[in-house]
Amino acid sequence: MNAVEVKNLKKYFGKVKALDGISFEVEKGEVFGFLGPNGAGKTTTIRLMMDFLRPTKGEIKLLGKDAKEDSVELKKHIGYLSPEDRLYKGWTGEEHVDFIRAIRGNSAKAQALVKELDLDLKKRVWQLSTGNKQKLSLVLAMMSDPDLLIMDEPTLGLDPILSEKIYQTLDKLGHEGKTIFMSSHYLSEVEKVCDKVAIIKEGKLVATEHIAELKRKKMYSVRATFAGDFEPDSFKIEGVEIKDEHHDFVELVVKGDINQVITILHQYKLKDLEIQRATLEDIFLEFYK
Amino acid sequence: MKAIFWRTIKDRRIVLLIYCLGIVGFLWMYVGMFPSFADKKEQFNQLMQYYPKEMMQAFGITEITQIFSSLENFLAMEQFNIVWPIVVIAFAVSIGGASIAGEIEGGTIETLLELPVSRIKIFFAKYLAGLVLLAIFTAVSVFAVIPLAAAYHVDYQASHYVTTSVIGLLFAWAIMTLAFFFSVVFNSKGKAYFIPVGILIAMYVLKILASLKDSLKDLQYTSFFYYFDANKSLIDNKIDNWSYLIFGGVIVVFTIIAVLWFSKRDITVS
Repeated sequence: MNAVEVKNLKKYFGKVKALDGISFEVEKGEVFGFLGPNGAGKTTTIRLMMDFLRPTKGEIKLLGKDAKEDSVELKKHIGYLSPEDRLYKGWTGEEHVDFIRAIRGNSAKAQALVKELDLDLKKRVWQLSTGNKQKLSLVLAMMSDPDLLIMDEPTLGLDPILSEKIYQTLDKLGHEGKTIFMSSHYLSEVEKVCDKVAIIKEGKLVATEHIAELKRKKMYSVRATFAGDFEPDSFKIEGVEIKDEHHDFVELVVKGDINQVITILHQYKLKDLEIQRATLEDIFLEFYK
Repeated sequence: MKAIFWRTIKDRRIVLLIYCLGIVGFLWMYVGMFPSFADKKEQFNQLMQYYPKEMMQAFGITEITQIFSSLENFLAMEQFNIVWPIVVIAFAVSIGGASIAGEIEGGTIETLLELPVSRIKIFFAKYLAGLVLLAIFTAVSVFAVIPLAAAYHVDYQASHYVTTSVIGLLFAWAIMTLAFFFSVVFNSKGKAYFIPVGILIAMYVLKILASLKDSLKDLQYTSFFYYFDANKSLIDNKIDNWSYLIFGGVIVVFTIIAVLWFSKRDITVS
């Protein structure tokens, strides 16, 4: 059984087509990344899955049940993490945990998560840093040991250390067989955490691929300045495009494996070398025009 | 549902306490002043004769000579026709307006909606908590008269306060329901506060206009302030059947529309 099944999902806000007929599936136990630039429709999709919004057309099934009709029953088995904290400023962390426990009736993992994330539950939310608010949100989302975790940009605005901690937590959950659906606009984040990824652009799904496949779509910008002459033709190989060249300089766009270009560059004496990984936006533009 | 209900009560308890202390403070002042006024009622009655009749009508005073004849007459004029409605409107609108729109504005509605609780239950947990808060406020603000009157050795009619608390609660409940409705419709607390307050100000103006000119008399029937008649409840110990009907009707109709609206609407937090 698929943990998530989205069929021909459309959501219009007046004349604005936020989602225009997207379909995808997430297998049980899969860590699924939902990738796209800001405004692509990631959050709208998640809000529809959580029944915060109602679809204009289409169907969403989570854990085999209808996301709208069986919303209450489904939410017993779903954990949700918002991109920004949705916490009550005047409550302490403990009050949040108690509140969720009173409604969900299950806080199996709360203590372990609090310890793992090194969180002080005695403080009020307004006293917490952005990172600690996100930790608390994460505890609340995962404390009842959900079968499906839906996360909207889980590391947005967090420092690399905390982001890494969250990746470790997600990795652990993935190994426990939990299904994770997470949106992101960081390719590196999705690569690190997810098994599969769907790419959304302007409300339409442009690709759904396994991460291994996506990795082959890596792209780099290479700028090399040579100490002597070089042969531009040596860079005319599959997956490499020469964007600019002078007598001692070349700028390349490399799709896929960077090693073949490194091998060629190694033949020359270099004055300077700059290799930049292409942004997600560049990759989108290149692969999903 | 219970957890949301109790949490709403807990979050509002300080506000409730402040409102209760404020209104009891006013009541204390009026009850404390009453014996002095009652002793010199002839002089005060004479003074009151010089006030324009229309102005007195605007404040719900029809029998000028009776104002200082009993605590109930005095409080009807000073407290329950002026101060109490203003305070209860502020309290009821703040409860209703913040209920859903406040959660949307603060983003915390997502914390509620992600839980295995239906929207109808979320609505009624907050609605019932609001009603309980209003009932506590009404009870405190009306029945505090009894110990205060006893402390100042002033005669009072206990049953009249029971009647006033009933019509007072209905008035407050109808206002809270209106504010709840706008809270469900809009995403910002500001709109959910100001629209019902605007409607109530318009109703108050209509009632005053109706009292000033005979040709506009029928306008009074469009005003909540006509159906919330503190003179009738506190002095005559009566409630007009139309008051039950109008406030009851507003409560039922707007509650149904609000709950349906909340169940069906898209909720977007920015």
